[in-house]
Amino acid sequence: MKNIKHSLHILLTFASMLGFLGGWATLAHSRKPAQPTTASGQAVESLPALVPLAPVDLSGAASPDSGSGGMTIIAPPLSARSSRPVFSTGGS
Amino acid sequence: MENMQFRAMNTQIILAAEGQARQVQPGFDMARKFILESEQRFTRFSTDSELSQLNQSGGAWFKVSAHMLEVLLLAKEYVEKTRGLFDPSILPDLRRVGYDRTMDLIHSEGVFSLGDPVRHPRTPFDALIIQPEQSLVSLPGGLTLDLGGIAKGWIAEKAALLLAEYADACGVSAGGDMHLIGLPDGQPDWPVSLDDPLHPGESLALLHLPPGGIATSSVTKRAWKQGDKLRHHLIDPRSGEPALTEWLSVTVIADHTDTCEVFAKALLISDTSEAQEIAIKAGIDFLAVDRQGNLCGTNNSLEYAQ
Repeated sequence: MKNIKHSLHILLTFASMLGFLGGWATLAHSRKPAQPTTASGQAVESLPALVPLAPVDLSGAASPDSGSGGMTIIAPPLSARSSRPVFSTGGS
Repeated sequence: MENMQFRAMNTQIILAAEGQARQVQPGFDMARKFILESEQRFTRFSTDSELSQLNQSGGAWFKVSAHMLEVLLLAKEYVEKTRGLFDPSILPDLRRVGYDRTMDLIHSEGVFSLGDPVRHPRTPFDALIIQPEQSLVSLPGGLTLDLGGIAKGWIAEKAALLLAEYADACGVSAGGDMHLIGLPDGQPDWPVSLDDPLHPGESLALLHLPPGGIATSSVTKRAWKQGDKLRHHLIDPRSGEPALTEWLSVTVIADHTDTCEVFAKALLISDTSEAQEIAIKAGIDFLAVDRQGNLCGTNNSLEYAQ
């Protein structure tokens, strides 16, 4: 019984090592991800993305992101940060 | 904070300044006088304004005032920086689509002109000749200019500088094109409400701005019907027609208000990817509202909306 247990340990250890080495070899020989390039073959830097924002709740309540995929804006109570705005902008 | 409000340039003007009323009142008076005089100089709706006289000069050398020269030189610079998306030579197209009187008159009386369906070629802006040393300008080949937007931003900033002689913190808004100097007492920034283009009278966000300029261009404010066509005042120089835009409004934050006004217009007219390229190249931060009412922005501009 003791011999069978010992043989089983050796078999499991050997199988694990074989699996690990096999995976390593597969990854080492796979293609690397393609980099964006210009016509001249130089790598280009992608433009920063425009980030969708959740509408800000001006009542002062927290405004959770409504699933737009963008960042969440939490608007603190207006009185805590500033007085009522004198100015507004929206095109004339 | 003391403030004075009045109507000029077919829009609402707001002057605001920190200080006692008697201390800032002379500043208000001086800024108001400058704004009204500048309106007379740059309007295209008065035949005896300096701009109208220049537009009627038929290519002959015309001696312009120092203020007109400054704005024309700025305009030339911005045409290059925006790759022609800002173009003051679109005046004939603006008239053709019905914007041939003040917006106040169009809103009260409607549009008279149904527009020429054929677009006639116009003389491009680069035909403009300026001799700065002599303050001489020539508009050859029937070239005519509309300086409405850029002049409004320039006037707001100059008026704010005049007001600043009487107050450490002040601001001037010309229909949302504004220039802010210093900071309101006890405040870390200027709170400015960003209008919701889909819901007039409502605010979409509260911006927290440093001193400097801000301006918004929108396709929903200066809009009218010409026959059965819905028109607005932002002409795409490439087509000569009101721009078909992916955004409803664009707000630009920069050091100078004329920069904000010009780039807000150019970014709204261009498509979104081109807008990003132009903004990055010019170091411009902007916020945009799309047709669904979503607020987007360049990375730096997000700080102002938080």
